[in-house]
Amino acid sequence: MPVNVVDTDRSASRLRAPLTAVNRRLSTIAAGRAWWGFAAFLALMAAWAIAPDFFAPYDAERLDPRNRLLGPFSDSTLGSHWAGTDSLGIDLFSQMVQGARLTFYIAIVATLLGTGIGVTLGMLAGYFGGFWDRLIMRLGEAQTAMPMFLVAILLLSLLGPSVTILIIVLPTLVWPIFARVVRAETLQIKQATYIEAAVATGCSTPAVLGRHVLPNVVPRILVLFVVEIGHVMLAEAGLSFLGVGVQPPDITWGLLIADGRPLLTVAWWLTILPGVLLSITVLSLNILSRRFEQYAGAAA
Amino acid sequence: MTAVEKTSPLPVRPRRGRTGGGLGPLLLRRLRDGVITLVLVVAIIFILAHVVGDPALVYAPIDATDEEIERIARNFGLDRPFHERFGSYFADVFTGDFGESMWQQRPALQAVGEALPDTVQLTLVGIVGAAVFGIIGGILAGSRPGSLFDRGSNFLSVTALSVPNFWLGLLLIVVFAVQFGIFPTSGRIGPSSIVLPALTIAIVHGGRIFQLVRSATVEEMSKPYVRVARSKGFPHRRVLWGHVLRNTGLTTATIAGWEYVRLWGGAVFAIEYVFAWPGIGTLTINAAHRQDFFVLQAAVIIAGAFVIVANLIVDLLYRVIDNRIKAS
Amino acid sequence: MSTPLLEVRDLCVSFATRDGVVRAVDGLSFSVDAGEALGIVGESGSGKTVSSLSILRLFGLFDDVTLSGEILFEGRDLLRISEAELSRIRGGKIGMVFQDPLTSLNPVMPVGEQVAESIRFHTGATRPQARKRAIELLDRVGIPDAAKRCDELPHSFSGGMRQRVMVAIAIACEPKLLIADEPSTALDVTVQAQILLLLDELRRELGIALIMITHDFGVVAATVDRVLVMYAAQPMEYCTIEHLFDRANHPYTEGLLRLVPRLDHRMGGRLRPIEGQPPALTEEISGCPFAPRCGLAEERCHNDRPPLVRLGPHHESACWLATERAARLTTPGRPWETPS
Repeated sequence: MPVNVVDTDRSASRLRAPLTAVNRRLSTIAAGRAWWGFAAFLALMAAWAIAPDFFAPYDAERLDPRNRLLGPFSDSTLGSHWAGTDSLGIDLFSQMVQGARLTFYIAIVATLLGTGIGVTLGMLAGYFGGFWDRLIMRLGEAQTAMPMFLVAILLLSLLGPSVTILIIVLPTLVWPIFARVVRAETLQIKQATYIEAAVATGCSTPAVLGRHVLPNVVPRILVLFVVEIGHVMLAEAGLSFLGVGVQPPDITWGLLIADGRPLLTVAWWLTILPGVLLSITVLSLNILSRRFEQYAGAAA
Repeated sequence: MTAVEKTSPLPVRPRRGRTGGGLGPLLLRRLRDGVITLVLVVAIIFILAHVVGDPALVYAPIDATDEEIERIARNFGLDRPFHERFGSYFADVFTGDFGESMWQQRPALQAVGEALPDTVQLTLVGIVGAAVFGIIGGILAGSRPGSLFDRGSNFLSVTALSVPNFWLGLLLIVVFAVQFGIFPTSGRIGPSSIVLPALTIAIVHGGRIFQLVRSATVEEMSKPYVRVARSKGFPHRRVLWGHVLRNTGLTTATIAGWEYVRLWGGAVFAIEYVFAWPGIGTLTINAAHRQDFFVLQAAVIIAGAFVIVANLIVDLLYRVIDNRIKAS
Repeated sequence: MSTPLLEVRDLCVSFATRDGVVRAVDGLSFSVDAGEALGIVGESGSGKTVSSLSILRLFGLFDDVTLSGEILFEGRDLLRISEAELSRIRGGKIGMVFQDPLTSLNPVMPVGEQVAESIRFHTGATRPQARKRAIELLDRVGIPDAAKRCDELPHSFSGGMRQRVMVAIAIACEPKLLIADEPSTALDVTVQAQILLLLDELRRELGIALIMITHDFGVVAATVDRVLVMYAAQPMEYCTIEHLFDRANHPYTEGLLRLVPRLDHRMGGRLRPIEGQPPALTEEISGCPFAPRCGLAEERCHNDRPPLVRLGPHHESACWLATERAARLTTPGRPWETPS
């Protein structure tokens, strides 16, 4: 509650208020200009994922036993390794660049799947109500009341860890929240008179739902989508770290952390640096989603 | 139970008497919901194990011959028809027979039962730490939204939510165990062993508690009675502690309770593994590496039951306290 | 003439919002003598509530406020004293009654305690002393069985009873000034009258000055000595209650008075609302803010802001036509009956 008292000479009848943007006070740096930095970071990570060979200074598969476990900012016969090298002498920075692709791929595809499932089920639950509504919502609740992480471990060890299985398992973590949002919106829209009018003029039910429910939930879905990419990324990293997710020779950041773990006491950078990268990425997604939220809130 | 079934599906509790009317039926309804959830989970695990996966292959050693696999299948009654297996599976699970661990050569339930108290201990210490961070920070930040402290701590909490929990554990090991040597790196060799894993939980979940407590405090601070309290001349701190916190206390406690339940949804298990804490998480992950299905399923079902009970307790405590406040 | 108890000079209040700067109060001046009652009348959004909040700086948590002008209370400028000094005045020398009694009391604190805590804070009374005094006050404002009910929580009180508790809180430390912000608006009609009567009684009995903020001329007529009419953040007319009903000068005041049903209204026809909407406060208003809706507006009304014209010792009007209209209206008559 900042209160500024301004001394004005009495002849000035107009106020000369300093223009402090109030949204700056309403939220965190998400509302300031700092979010540009995080957006730029995400753009860079996306560029890594799209063209890893352009950004990676060295071949991420070439062994170089003479230059094993070099610390950050050290030089080898090949050149400089600003993130150091691992126990086989492979440049860590190159591995991190190469890891961006699969990290993003899994997170985005799994979240998309989860979003699709959640939106569809939420719409069905909201539109048909009754038994289907109860079944779908109870399923979602049951899931939130479960140690889902253990369930995922169980699933992956039963089915055998692979990228495909991971992409099938991860959406189960995210669909309930989308279902809840879409269901609430569908219930509300179902009551609206313009839906009755649309049905009366002969539009089919799915068309009505698609045309009227979706546009209303898109802003919220978008915000959630960005947040959930971060969550899925963390979940994938966790599962890969525990050895039930992505398997070598594929690379993700979570797997790099796992690879570095046995050498934690001698080569900390192998564990810490990929984690820093992952953390900043998820943080950027969180901050960006808050920015979207404010934008959508202001537009509504 | 019949009396419960007859009450309306609306979440309206019949109010009887002064203190906590209708708690009995609520308890029963929640118990019923919990049991349904648990049955659902067991069914899902059965379907996964017996339909999606091939149990005989899962249980067999990697180098097993076809004959051996067949023998294993017969051993576990896998040659019987599907519905029979389904029935006997349920009967086994609900009488506490989770099968024999091949890896540990003892009942799977015993292995899980041994690990459970360690996980409970770690989660409780961790959540207390998280509550201390989150609640104090959230109240201070929420009472002065937009202040430097608010913006700083808000950013820190978002960061805490963005960091992979297992990696945070490794980071703490590097700093406090390897660099400074203050705490042991892993295992359970004394009271100080719990500090780093509990701290990891406290940071990650403290971040979320912070966010929720902060927004609850901001909301409460915008209510008209706060302006009235200020109009009495009370300084900010007195308005906050004397008026606002009296109202947000219950919400805050509930937030911490939910967060405890949430902790069981994931974070604690990976953190246990990082610190080799001998709890359910470490057990489960080792079992997964050894393809020990019986320990895995026992861990999931026991942990699931624990979460359901914890959920129930948080919910009931909230109702009891809420009713007491309203009745007094 | 002695110095007034409260004197507001050229008060301007603006809020920085998402949509730009909102001028909520723009050049407001008025004064209140000890024991006197002033009414501030205007539509919602006219700045009357903000002016009352400015006196004690009771803005919301998220408000980014800029103030200018002076608010002199007992010779001190309330805008420029520290928060600590102001806290002695809040609830001590100036009490405040708010609009919504249902949400204005702390739902988990016994009502007696909500009165007593203010007494303890300002007078340093002990707990039993403060409690005893709180019961007296609750009794005085008309809470039946106060000794017993003071330990109950607000939710067992009706809206009218809660507003009585609010009044007890406001007068707990025998303030010199009581600010009542739409104290009766949220209540039932019969209860409204009771609350107004109570405020009037207390004012006369304890010699408290009163600022009554309302949109209702009926409330004004019943309780105050002088009236300030506000429109779009600006003062329109400032006069005694007698002048208001007999010699309203500003066309806006006149328009408002046409909306008051009167028993002695001969025309027996319909109430005539003022056409149009008040201007948005984010926009720069160059002329008279009422000009777009005023039937008498001339070119200068749209271009230049009219000055406050002094028409007599207790009458000011912010209208270019003020002098002209005043001359026409000096003969006793009823302005709302002049054909327009």
